Amino acid sequence: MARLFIFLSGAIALAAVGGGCASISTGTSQAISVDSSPTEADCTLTREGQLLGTIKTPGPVTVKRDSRTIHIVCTKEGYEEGKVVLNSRLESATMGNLLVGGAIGLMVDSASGASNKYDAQVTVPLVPRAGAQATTPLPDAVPANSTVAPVAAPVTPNAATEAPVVSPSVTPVSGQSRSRL
Amino acid sequence: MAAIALLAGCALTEDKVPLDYVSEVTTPTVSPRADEVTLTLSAQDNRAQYRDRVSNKKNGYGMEMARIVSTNDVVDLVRGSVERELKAQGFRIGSGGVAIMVELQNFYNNFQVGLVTGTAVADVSFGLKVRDASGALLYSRNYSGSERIDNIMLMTGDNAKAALQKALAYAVKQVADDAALRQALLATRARNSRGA
Repeated sequence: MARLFIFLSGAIALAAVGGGCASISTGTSQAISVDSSPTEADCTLTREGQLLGTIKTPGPVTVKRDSRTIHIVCTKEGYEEGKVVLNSRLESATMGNLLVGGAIGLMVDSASGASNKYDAQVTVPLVPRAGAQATTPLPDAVPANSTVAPVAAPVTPNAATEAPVVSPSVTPVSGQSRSRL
Repeated sequence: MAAIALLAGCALTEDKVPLDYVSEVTTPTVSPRADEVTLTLSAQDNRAQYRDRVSNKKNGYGMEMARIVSTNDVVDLVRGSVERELKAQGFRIGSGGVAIMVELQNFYNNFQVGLVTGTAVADVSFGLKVRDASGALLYSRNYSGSERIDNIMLMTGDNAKAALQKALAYAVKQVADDAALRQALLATRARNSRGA
């Protein structure tokens, strides 16, 4: 009985110490190297409408690991707006919990977000503006949580809103988006 | 036979699901004289990830297992969904009209593993670009819809389908609700009449 108690205590202690393999080995944040083609574009990273960071490409952005998608929007003078969406994947270090950590480790990794990872490198392709009107600069894209959207409209807190880009002859009147997350 | 029957729900077997557009637009805003504007919609796949699937089955540890694929082309599904809503607003659909390019950026359901149950989290994102006959950009905007279905027991195609269809409906509803887009499309009528 005493041996069983010692064994169980040891197992629980080991799980607690080793709990969250990915949290310990890879951390709860990661860097995403954002590039664009061509470079020198201004990029904004958002997750469910929340701004994660802005950068001029190429360069890294450190983000907290999470299971939710990241939306990257890049703008550059003379080019149309480019966008890439990154889905999270499973962090392979989480599998270490199969050896050490067990269910406790999985819970720790899941709660901290460490069980997720994004692609470490992403390139956003930009297409040159074409046509006669393309020579007229269009308004820059506005981050989702910005207060300077063309015309304010009710926006849900988690909405992944992106301001429209309109030619000078058209007045944007809506910036509504919807999400249930 | 018994083994095959048991393996039907296996995480290692690919799941194929038909995806549909179920509109959430109850009363479309019909624009006056919209029938004088002809739209030509096309679509392209700009997804950076998971072009060959719409989701992945996962096991209890969150490891990706077999693919979940759509039996129909999701790029065409999104294009058709946008087309349907614009047609409901009174615009004519046909060749040689104002060019609308639908650029699909994401169409994916990511299952999240919980302690007892899981969650289906779908994201459908696409951009829409309106160009005139010369190719000049008249209007551009990104639309994104997300849906989350909690307390699911199986990370399979049916649950992915439910989340994806909702996410698609939300994203397309933004197009239907986009007054600036309607205005930009109607403005092409004035330009054409001036040009004539």
